[in-house]
Amino acid sequence: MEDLFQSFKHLKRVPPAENLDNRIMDAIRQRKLNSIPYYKVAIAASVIFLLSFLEIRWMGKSVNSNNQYTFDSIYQIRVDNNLYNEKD
Amino acid sequence: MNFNEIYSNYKVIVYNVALHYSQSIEDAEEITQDVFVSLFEKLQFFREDASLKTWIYKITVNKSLDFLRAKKRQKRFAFITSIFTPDSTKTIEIPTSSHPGIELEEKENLNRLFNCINKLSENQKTVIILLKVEQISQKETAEIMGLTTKAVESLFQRAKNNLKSHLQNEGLD
Repeated sequence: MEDLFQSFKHLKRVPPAENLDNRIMDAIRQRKLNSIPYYKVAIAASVIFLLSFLEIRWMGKSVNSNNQYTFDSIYQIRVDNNLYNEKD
Repeated sequence: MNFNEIYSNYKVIVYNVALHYSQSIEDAEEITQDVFVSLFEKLQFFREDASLKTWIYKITVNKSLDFLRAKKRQKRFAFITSIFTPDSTKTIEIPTSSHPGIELEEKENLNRLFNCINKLSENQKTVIILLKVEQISQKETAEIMGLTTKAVESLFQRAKNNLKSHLQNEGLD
């Protein structure tokens, strides 16, 4: 059996065909183009979240400064309306 | 080490391991492509404490086995569809072994040996390829296969016994 395994020594290492290099690099380039840059998606998502959060804060404040409904009171009106509708 | 350096250092190893599994130039090229695309994607997650060579061998072995499994499925499916299609005159092509690394004087013996190795289970085939064809140490083989050294040793014994009986059936031993 070991003699038979010795015959593997007659197995040469062969280099791959030259066009394989180009094929592999093309495949990688294609992957790069199609792949989603996750860090960019994460940055965009956090910017959107931050902006929407700031907008809510700003809404509450601006309403306050005009002496109109605050954000909390808008919510309260909604709750009241619901109660009113329920009474109906 | 960047990707280009890894590619130029390891492409011959990857291609030849793929050849040992598939014994076909076209299939080995496809496996090599799969390995390097996957390597490119996973390179950022590679832990420096592990050996790069072991890691590349691991990916190559897994990709080769995946490829052969997919090919087997394809063949089975082609056989089933050939039964139900009216054009039954078409026969399924069975690819002949064409390992380009085999020297002419050993061609017949090594082709038969590879045919018998192909009949072994995935793990047994892997252990023979890594230990005997690639001449990798038992410790490294264990790391690549995710087994203990003892497990590799007993797997190799079982593989050797099974190979022996396949070879006896072929009249090679």
